[in-house]
Amino acid sequence: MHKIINKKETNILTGGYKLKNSKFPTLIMIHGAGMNGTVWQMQTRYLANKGLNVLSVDLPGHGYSQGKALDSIEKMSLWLIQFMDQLNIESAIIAGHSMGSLIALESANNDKKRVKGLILLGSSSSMPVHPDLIEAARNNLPLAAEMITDWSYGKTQHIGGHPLPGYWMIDSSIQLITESLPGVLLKDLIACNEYKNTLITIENIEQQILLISGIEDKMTPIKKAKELTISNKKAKISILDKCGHMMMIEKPREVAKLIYNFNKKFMKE
Amino acid sequence: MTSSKFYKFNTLSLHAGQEVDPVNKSRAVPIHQTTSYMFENTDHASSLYNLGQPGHIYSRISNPTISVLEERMAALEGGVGSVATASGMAAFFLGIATLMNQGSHIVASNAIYGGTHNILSYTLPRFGIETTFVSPENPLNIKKAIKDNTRLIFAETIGNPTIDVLDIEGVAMVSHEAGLPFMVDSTFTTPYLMQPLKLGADIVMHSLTKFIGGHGIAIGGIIVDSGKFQWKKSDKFPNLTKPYEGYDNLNYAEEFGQQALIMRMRSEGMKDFGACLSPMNAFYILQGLETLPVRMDRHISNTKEVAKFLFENENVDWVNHPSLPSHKSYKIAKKILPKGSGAILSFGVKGGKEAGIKFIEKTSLSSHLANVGDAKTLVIHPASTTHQQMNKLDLDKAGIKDNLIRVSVGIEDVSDIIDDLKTALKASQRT
Repeated sequence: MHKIINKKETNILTGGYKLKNSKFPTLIMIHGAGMNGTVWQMQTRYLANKGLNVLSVDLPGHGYSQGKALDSIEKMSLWLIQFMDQLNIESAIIAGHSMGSLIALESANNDKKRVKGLILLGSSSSMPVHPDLIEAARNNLPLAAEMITDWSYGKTQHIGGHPLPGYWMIDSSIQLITESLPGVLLKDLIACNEYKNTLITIENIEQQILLISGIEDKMTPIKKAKELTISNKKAKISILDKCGHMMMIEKPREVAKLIYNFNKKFMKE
Repeated sequence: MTSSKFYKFNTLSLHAGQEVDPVNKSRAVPIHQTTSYMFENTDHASSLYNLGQPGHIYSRISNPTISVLEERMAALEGGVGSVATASGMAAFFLGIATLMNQGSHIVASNAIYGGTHNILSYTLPRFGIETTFVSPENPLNIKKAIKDNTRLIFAETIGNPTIDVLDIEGVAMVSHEAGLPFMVDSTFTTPYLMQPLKLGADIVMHSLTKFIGGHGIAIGGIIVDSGKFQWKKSDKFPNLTKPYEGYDNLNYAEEFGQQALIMRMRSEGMKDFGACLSPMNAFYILQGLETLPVRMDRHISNTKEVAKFLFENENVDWVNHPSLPSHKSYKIAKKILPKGSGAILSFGVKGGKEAGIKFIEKTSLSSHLANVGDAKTLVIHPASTTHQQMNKLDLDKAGIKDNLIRVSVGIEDVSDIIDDLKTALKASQRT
């Protein structure tokens, strides 16, 4: 569905269901750098069918959302709060992947009342971006898409064996990133690279946090993800076996269940 | 500069799509000879039926053995996903029936397999889908045939049986300028020789029965999507961009993005049309696919020698194979088929139809049958067999002469193949 946010058409995936009265807080899902809301396609319909209002958002300038891509995590977070304001969302759980996890953190810190909980997938204490990848994002998007895909998927997934019949992860990922508009991936990567507040922010978070990490993740390695749990003792971490950085795609069933079980804690009786 | 480290073609043809069975550790892909799959609980069952979670329900829709084949072919073609079917014709129909409705129009190459020509000419018009056939030699012919209701451009990578190589980049450009997807049948080339999706095609299909299997023991087909065509930006494909009542008004393009076509083909087409591949055939085809690269190298080297032999033989009128400098596709074949331009060639026997018939009857090692892409050398006379449903005018338009012999060059010792052809050619000239 499309909604107008800050006078720009914003594309939102709902799992194919209309929004309804729900016992759950609204689940907002935020994609990573250069991607779009379809990265959650193996969770949205499952969760929506279980009664959640799921909003998998294309950030400005991504996927089918209008507007220019924003150039800092802080601006993206501000946009997300405006998104919740303009859609009259009173309580929300935010699930963010990679860059989306930084946006989720920043938003939860800035809106403690409305954001009830956080699910951070493929997150870490910092997200420095390799200079070669920044260079490729600037001058050679197909190469950047290959580099991200290579590093994002665990070695097991380079061979495949996906539970969705016939689905080939590697070229799907390359294709998804290659489709991003010129300059969008570069802006996103620089935003990740320059955001240095992760540990300070997570320390301040009072809400419940679930971290989901892949044991083969090279982009946000487990060691760096665990540093988040040291800074915030309430944060719990689930580690997925045979999984890299793209856990929603690599382990779709496991991730859907983890997200659902986390949301269940906030269900109104 | 850091480089990516993806597995390469030979490795993928052996491994892609198979996660080794964690319980029994079977190295070969297991044959899941089962119709259906146990649900973990009612929640699991509900989510599978609702397309909420990936997995298997019933083998008409998907099956673990077939999924390995599907994923492997998608990997080898560079696509986002694929759906395997009971045959190449079933794959073709699945693509057509998913993309279009009554009142749609297709522009197709006239140099295509006789079975495909038949469904486009006679079967699909009964359901309100019309086709205009054009020579694909010049992509402008395709452009001129496009109408308001055109929904697809279709051609074969190497025309059957004239062996003309398609200008895929040119046709893709024409298709995309018109906002249309371009589907190509790459059966003759296999992903080892050419990956049409990388040259601009949107969808690629195969008869797996041919070179992919290579053994001639199992029929199968597959359709692979590049995920590149932006369905959502077009108003021509309501099956993908409008709510579908069959799944609670699900909008496939909206929810599945680049997977929209694959998801719709499987959740509607495989379920409703039922043209599924058998798990056993998927297993057989996987055995062939494992050795595709080495077989294709041998097919190519043998074909070059056979083409040269025929070209120099006094009893042969003409030879069609793009490896010959005299062939009109020689230049483009060099460009888009650098490893070789396939193992199918055609030639005309001196003496016309009668000599052609004698030739076929005097072959001994070569098998006279209606197939191509077997590891064994095959010969056929298309005008009286595979293309006999086409009238004289259509045969002429497609460049099929009555003395045309099609040879699918196998991987036997090439001197034995040449000896067989030499003997039959000599016999064809006896009165």
